[in-house]
Amino acid sequence: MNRITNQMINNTMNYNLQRHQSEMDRIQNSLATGKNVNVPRDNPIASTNQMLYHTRLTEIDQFISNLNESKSRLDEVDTALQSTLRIFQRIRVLTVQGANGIYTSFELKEAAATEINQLLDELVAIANSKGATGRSIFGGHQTGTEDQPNPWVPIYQTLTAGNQGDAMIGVEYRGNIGKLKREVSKGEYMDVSVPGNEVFWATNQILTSNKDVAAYTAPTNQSIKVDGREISISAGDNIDIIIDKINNAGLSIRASKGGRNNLIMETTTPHQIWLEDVGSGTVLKDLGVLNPNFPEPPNNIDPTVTIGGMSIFEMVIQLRDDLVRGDQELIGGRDLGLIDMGLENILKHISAMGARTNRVEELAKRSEFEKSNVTTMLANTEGIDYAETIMNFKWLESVHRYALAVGARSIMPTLMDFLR
Amino acid sequence: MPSTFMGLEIGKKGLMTHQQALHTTGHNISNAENKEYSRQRVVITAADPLYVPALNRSNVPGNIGQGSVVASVERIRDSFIDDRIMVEKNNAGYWKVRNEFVYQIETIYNEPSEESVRNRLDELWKSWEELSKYPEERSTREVVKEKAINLSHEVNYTYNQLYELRLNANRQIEARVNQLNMYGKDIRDLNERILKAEALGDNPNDLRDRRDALIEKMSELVNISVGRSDKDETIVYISGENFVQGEVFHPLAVEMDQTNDGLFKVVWKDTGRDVDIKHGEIASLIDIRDKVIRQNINDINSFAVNLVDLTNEVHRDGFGRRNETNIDFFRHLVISDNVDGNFDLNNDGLNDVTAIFKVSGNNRIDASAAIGINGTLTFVNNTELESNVQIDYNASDTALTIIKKINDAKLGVVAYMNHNGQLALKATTAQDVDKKNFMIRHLEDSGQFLVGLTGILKQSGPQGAFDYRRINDIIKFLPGREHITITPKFNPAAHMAVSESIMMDVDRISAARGKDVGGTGDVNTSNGIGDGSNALRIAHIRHKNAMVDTNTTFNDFYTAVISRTGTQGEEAKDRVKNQETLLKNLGNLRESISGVNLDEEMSNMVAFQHGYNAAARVITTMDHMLDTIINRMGV
Repeated sequence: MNRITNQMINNTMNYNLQRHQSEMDRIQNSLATGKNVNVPRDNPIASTNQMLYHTRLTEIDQFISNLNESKSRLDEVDTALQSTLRIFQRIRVLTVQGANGIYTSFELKEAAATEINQLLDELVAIANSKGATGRSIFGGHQTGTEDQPNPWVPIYQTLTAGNQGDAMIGVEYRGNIGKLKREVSKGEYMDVSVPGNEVFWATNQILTSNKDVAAYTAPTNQSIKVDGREISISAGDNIDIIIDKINNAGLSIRASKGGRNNLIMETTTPHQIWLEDVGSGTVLKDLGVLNPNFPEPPNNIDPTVTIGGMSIFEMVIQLRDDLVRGDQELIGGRDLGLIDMGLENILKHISAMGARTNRVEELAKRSEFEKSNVTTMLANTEGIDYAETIMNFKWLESVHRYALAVGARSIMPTLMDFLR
Repeated sequence: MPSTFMGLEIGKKGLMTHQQALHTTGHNISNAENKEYSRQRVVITAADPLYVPALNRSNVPGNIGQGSVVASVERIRDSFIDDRIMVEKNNAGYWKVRNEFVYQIETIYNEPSEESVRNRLDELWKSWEELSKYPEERSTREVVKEKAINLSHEVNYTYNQLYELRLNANRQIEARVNQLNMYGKDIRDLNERILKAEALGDNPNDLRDRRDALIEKMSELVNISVGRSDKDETIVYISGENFVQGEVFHPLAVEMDQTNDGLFKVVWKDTGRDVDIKHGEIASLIDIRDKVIRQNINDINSFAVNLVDLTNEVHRDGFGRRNETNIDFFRHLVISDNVDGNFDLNNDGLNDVTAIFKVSGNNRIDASAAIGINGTLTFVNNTELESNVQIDYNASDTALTIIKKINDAKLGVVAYMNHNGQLALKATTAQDVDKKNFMIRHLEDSGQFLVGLTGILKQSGPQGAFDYRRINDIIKFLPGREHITITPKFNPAAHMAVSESIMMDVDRISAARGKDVGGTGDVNTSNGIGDGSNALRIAHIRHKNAMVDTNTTFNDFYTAVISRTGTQGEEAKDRVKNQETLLKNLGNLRESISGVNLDEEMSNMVAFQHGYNAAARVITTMDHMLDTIINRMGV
C-alpha cells in the first residue's frame, strides 16, 4: 500500500482545483465572448474554417454589392433606352404622316422639322445621359473628361431649308467601345454597360475601301484590332488570308473582297466598326481602310473609304431633310424602313439589358442564399451552444464544490487533534 | 561483573537516543511543507554489548546489553524515481516553453478576429473592386490607398512582433545558460561539502536534498543525466559530456553565431565547442527561435513580397486618372544599391552576387500549346549544397507542363504564367540561409525554351546561363529592366508600404488599362477615365494561386500559416497537460516514499516521548537503587 503524506493530499487537491478553475475560466471566457475559439489552439480546424468563412463572407458581400450596383447601372441604361423608344414612336408617327403626304404646306413642313429637331436634341441628350455618379453611361470607358464631357458631339449648321435656323447636321461618337465589367461571382464577370456606338446605330455599317490590294502582303508579324478583338497577322499574309482571319475571329463583322480587289467590311448587327492597328502595325492603313494621319479611333476611317450605314441620329437627320424636301417616296420607303431597323436595334438592346438584369437578380438571389449558408456555417463553428455550455459550467461548478467540500474535510483532521 | 553505575549509563544512552529521535522528528515536522525535503529516520541500534569475546572477559553468562545508540540518520529517497522525474521534467521544460511561445505567436496573428492581416487583406480586395466600379472618383482611390496602408501596417506589425519574439527567445537562451551555470556552480560547491562530510562518516542528508533539487531544476533546462556510481564523485552530464564532475565544473557560454544572424549558440566555455542540446527549455528556445519563428517570419516575408510584386506587376501595366503609368503601387525596396542588382552577400565590402527576384519573359506564349522543341533546363538547388538540378523538356511538352515540372522540383525557383501570358520565374525563400531568400540562383537552358520561345535568357547553353554568384549577370536576361525585379531588401514584410508616388497622389492608382497610340510599340494611353478593368485585374489576384511554391492563393496561404500555428499550439498545450499529469503522479510516488506524514511523525513522537520517559524512569530506578546502597545500608 502506498504511503500517503499530507503534501500528497494537498497536491492532489490543488491540482484538481487548478484544473477545474482553468476549465471554468475557459468556459466563462467563451460564454462572455460567445465564441468557442479565441486562439487558434482552442480548435485549429474550426479556427481556419472560421477564417475561410469570414473571407468568403466578405467576398460574397462584395459580390452582392457589385450585383446591386450592376442592377442600377443596367436600370440606368434601360431607362435611357425606354425614353429613346418613346421618342422613336413619335418619330415613327411623324414619318408615317410624312409618307402619307400630310406635310404639304411650307408651314407644316417647318413645324415637322422643328419637332424633329427637338426630338433629335432630346435623343442626343439621352445618348449623353449621365448615371448616378454623374458619368456618361454610353461612352464606353470614356465617361467624360473636362475637355470632352460627352461621348456624342452634335454638329450644328444654319439651315435655310424649312427655316430651321441652327440645326443638327451630324453627330460624332467620341467615346470608345470599352465595356464596364463587374465581378458578379468568383472569377465571373459581366458587362454592365453598352457602348453608345452599338445602341444608337440604325443600320449595318459597310466600309468599302477603294484601294486595290491584290498584290499586298503584310510586311511583318503584327496584329490588328477589330471591335477590340486582337487578330494577329503574320508576315506574308495576303488580302484573302487577312479576310479569312477577320471572318474567323468570331465577330459580328463579315469581311469580303470587292470587285476591284478592295477590302469590304460589313457588320452583321448594327454598330460602328472599330478598327485599330496595334502598335506600329500598318496593315489596316496599307489596306486603305484607316487614315494614316489620324489612326486612332473613333473617326479614323480613311477619307477615301465609302462608308455605308448610319447612326440613328444621322438617320433622323436624313428623315428630317426628306420631310423638308417633301420626298414622300423616300420617307415611306427608305426612312420608314430605317426607323424600323433602328427601333429593332434598340429593342434588341432593351431585351439584352432585361436578360442581364434577370441574370443579375438570379445571381443576387444565389449570393444571398450562399451568404445565409456561410453565415450559418460560421455561426455553427464560431458560436457556442449557450444551453450546453451553461450546463457544462453548472456541472463543473458542482464538481468543484464537491472537491472543495471534500478537500476541506480531508486535510483537516490529524493525529494532533486527538493528542492531549 | 558489571559496574554499579552501568544502569545509569544505559538510561543515559536511552535518553540521548530518544532525544535524537525526537529532534529528527521535529526536523521532519518543520520540513513537512518543504518540497525539496526527504524525510529522515533515526536508525537506533543496540550498543555494543559487554564483553567482547576474549579470554580476559568476565565470566558471566551472555553478552550484557549496553543500551541503544544512534547508528545513523538516514534519508529516505529513491534515486530511480529521481531519474524518471528528471527525464519527464526535461520534456516538460521543452513543451512548457514551446507552449508559451506558440501562444504568443497565436496572439500576434490575432486570429480569428477582425483585427488581423486576413481581414485587412479582404478589405483591400474589396476596395479594388469598389475602385473598378467607380474609377472616376477620387474617393474610391483614397479608400484603396488607406486599405493598403492598413494592410501594410498590419504586416509590418506582425513582422516586428515576430522578430521581437525571436530576439526574446534569444535573450532567454542567454538567461537560461547563466542559470544553468549558476546551478552547476552550486552543485560543485555542494559536492565539495558533501564529500567532506561523508569523509568524516556523516550523512549530509540536507545537503543531498539540496543537490537533488538543483539537479532537478537543471533537468528542466537541458538534457542532463547523473552518474551516481562513484561514491566519491557525483557527475552531471549534458549530452554525455561532463558538466560537473565532483569538484570540477565546466561552465557553458553563449556565443554569437555569425552563420545564424548573430544569434546565440551554446558552447563549452573552456573549449568553445558546441553543446549538443536536445531537450529541455534551452532546446525548446533554440527550436522556437530557429524553426518555428523563423518559418513564420519567412512566411510573412514571402506573403509580403509576393503580394507587393504581383500587385505592382499588374499595377504598372495600368493607367492612372491622368494617364500615369509604370507606377509601383507598393514600395519595393531593393537589396542592392544599383540598378543591376549587384550585392555584397558576404559583407566583405565588394559586390559578389547578382540578386534577382523575378524575371518575366519578353514573349507572350500559348501556355497550353506544345512547344515543339527539346532541351534541358539547369537550375541550382537552394540548399547549402547548391547542386545542379536538370529538368528535361521535349517537343510534346506545353509551357504548363514545364511550369509544373519546375514547381514540383522545389528548387527555390517557381514558374508561372503572368497576367500578360508571359512566362515568369521567381525565387522563393532559401533553405540554407535567410540572407539568400528571394534570389534566383541559376538559370540555364540547353535549348530554346527560355531563350527563343519565352524570351527570358539571351542565349542558350552554359555561356548564356544566369548565375547569381557572378556580378553583373543581369545582362544574361533578355527583357528590359522593367520586367526584372531585383531581390527585395531583407525582410520585405518589415518594409511593406504603399509607394511614395501613390501616397502623394491617389490619381496615380492604375484603375484603367491602356492601349498603344502612335505605334510606339508600347502601351502608352489609357482606355479612358471610366475604365476600371485594371483595378478588377488586381482584385482578381485574390483568386489566383499567387503563392506559387505552395500553389495557394494569398488567403489560403495565410490561413495555412494560422492553421499550422494553431495545431502547434494545440499540441504543445496537450503535451504540457500530459507532462503535468505525469509529473504529478511521479511526484506523488516520490512523496509517498520521501514525504513527511504528520500523523506518522506524531505517533513516532508519542513513541519516542514514551521511550524518553521510560529511559528517565530507568535512571530514577537506578537512583533509588543507589540511594538504597548509599543511604539505607547503614554501613
